[in-house]
Amino acid sequence: MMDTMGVIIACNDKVNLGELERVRSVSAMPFGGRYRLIDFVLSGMVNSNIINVGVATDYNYQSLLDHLGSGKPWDLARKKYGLFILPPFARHQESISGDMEMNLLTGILHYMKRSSQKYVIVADCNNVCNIRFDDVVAQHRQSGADITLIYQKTDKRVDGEVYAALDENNCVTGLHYGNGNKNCTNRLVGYYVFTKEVLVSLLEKCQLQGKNNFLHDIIGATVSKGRVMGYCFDGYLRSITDIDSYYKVSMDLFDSRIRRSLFVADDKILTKTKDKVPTRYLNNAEVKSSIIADGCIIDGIVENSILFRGVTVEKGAVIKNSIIMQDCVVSESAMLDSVIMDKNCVIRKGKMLVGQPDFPIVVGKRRTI
Amino acid sequence: MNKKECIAMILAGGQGSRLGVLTRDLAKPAVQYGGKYRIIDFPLTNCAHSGIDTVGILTQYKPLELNTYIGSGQPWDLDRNDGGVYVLPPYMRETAGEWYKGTANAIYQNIEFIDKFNPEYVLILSGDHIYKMNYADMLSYHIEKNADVTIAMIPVAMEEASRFGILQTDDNGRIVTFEEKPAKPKSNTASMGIYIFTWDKLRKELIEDENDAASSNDFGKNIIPKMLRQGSALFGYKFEGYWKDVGTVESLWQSNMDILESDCLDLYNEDWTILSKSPLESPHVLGKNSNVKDSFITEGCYIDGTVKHSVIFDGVSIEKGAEVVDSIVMSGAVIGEDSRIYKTIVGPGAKIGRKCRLGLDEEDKYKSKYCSGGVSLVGADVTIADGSAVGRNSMITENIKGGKR
Repeated sequence: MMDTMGVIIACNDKVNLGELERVRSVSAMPFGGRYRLIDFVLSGMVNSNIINVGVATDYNYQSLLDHLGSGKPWDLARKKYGLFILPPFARHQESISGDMEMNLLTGILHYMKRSSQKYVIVADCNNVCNIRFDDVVAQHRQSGADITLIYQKTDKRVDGEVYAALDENNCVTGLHYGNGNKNCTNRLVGYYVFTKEVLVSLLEKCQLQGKNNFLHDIIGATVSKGRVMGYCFDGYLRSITDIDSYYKVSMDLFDSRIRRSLFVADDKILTKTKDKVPTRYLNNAEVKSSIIADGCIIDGIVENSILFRGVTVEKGAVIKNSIIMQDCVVSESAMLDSVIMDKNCVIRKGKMLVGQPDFPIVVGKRRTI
Repeated sequence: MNKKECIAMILAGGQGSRLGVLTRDLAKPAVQYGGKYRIIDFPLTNCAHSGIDTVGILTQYKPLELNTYIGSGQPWDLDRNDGGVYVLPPYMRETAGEWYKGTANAIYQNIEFIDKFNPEYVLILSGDHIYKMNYADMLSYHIEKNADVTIAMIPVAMEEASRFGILQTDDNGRIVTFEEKPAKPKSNTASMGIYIFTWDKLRKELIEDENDAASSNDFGKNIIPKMLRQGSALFGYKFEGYWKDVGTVESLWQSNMDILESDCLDLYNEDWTILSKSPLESPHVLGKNSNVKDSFITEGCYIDGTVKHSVIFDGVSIEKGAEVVDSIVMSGAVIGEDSRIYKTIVGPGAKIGRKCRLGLDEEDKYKSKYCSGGVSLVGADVTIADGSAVGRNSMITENIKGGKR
């Protein structure tokens, strides 16, 4: 799809991950043992043969920069186009009003104008899915719409989400917020295809008029002109918005059908590789129903848990229903249940931490307990 | 090109016929090792960590898979503007062209390549050894001794000594005797097949050797003994640490088992990460019936059976009730329900059906001269039907079809 570019909005506005997000952009949030959240949408774009991708970031983008590097793992280290990391525009103080999405998009107007592609996909970074954009862009091209928004059918409405009402031709007739209007359950997933010149002119107009709400002033304004189409994505897609959804979506990976649809498809989720050693199981290891990344050393008991790269589980340690991120050490006879542990933590000998599946305990980066 | 102090040449042209069906479709250096590596990752990693940024890889036998694996050299940080990794097959010249006749001839045919970098020293390596070694230290030793050739050496078991080049040194480290594969070895100090030559000396020797019709153009048989006879400065460089020639099915199996021992090869040292091209699969999954002990398991695997003292490569499935012991299961292989696999190397992509027995019984049907020490071998992409039995020391090269039991 040489005629389409991608823009990923890597901001923390729509997400509240508490202590986990304090140290990083949500886009760089570790997920599923070896991935970062941005890998899902970025791989989706790359797997759809998009070769021009901009990542617009707000603050806290160090770990994101470290993860993306030159874009090589996604084949985006290229002479022509490739990966562009677009940090916030310097005039942050002036433009602080309004939503971050609008600010970031306005800040990268010149990048979009300079690119030759005719269409642009604007995408949030907090979804877990394996999506190809070819079909939706094909539909967009054919329909001649200004915007095509991607939605998924859900069975109930929740606060904080936005839903689209559609007519029989898939034309969006209105946007509904939160848990009102029970009939309309087409949840917006935060992926939009724009005809680029329309997006550019809308952004410029909004800038002049001081309008700064992306959903209302860009999407909503175009809906009222009848120029927005809907595209239903019926594969697995979940948005990470808080600790609860992070934990639930992580636990979804134990469902083999979901896991396969995400990872065993023809289109791989690409990520930075670290050349870790295979995981070493020792004589006292008892591991069941778990997802284990490379580079771990396991001599304890692990059940229903996700271990990221380089985790050490010493003899007699017990880990259940937990998510343990990179390079953590769980010492002898320690016991963890329903814990989300950020990178580089150490649980000392015999310590115990027990949360509940609907209320997991979160341990911040580099803590020692 | 800028002048280079030292460049490396890796001899990767050998077939490795003693590995049987494992090298049917690929060269020995491309054979998988240690869960996620290939043999050639070890010399390439050593080069990368020793600051050697120009590497020629001499290929000849079935090079497709090796060439594809090396690619631009990026996994080893060898995609460089000035230098980098080069795959060097034999090629046609104005009058004729010929295959690499021997190890020395392979380097001879690439004199022009080496001259382009105008190096002071040339490091000659084999593509079929498992070890971690800092070549920079060996080069310092070579320079300090003002040597013409430095040969890395290691003690081996006396009964195996006749498989190697055997040498003796004086107190100063200078080599006084060298015999290639002697029937009656004088010592158990073996050449590791790792040489540093001062390039102008080697260049001269290679040309002389090529003009000698009686020579078999081999470093161990011709170049080294001749240089020793004519009084050149040959020094031995003592290497301490793990080193294994993985030339046979049994030694390949043993060397994989060695990484399960803590005192053999430390793969965890962050300063000497073994670099390789990652298969990029999702983390591995252990099912609710799994029982994994004393093993290596890597990305993309699904394990619902029992795995003990084994090395499992990427993308392997081991189904419920299956039992894998003392074995090596290579990329993408499938072990069916209730099968029992003992002391077997299962090649990449092999499909073992249900209720099979491999490597358990004394049975002669598939016995092979390549397999010894009780180790059995299943070739790449071979399918073995449900309920089949394969004895010890067996090699399976074709599908085993089901039928009467």
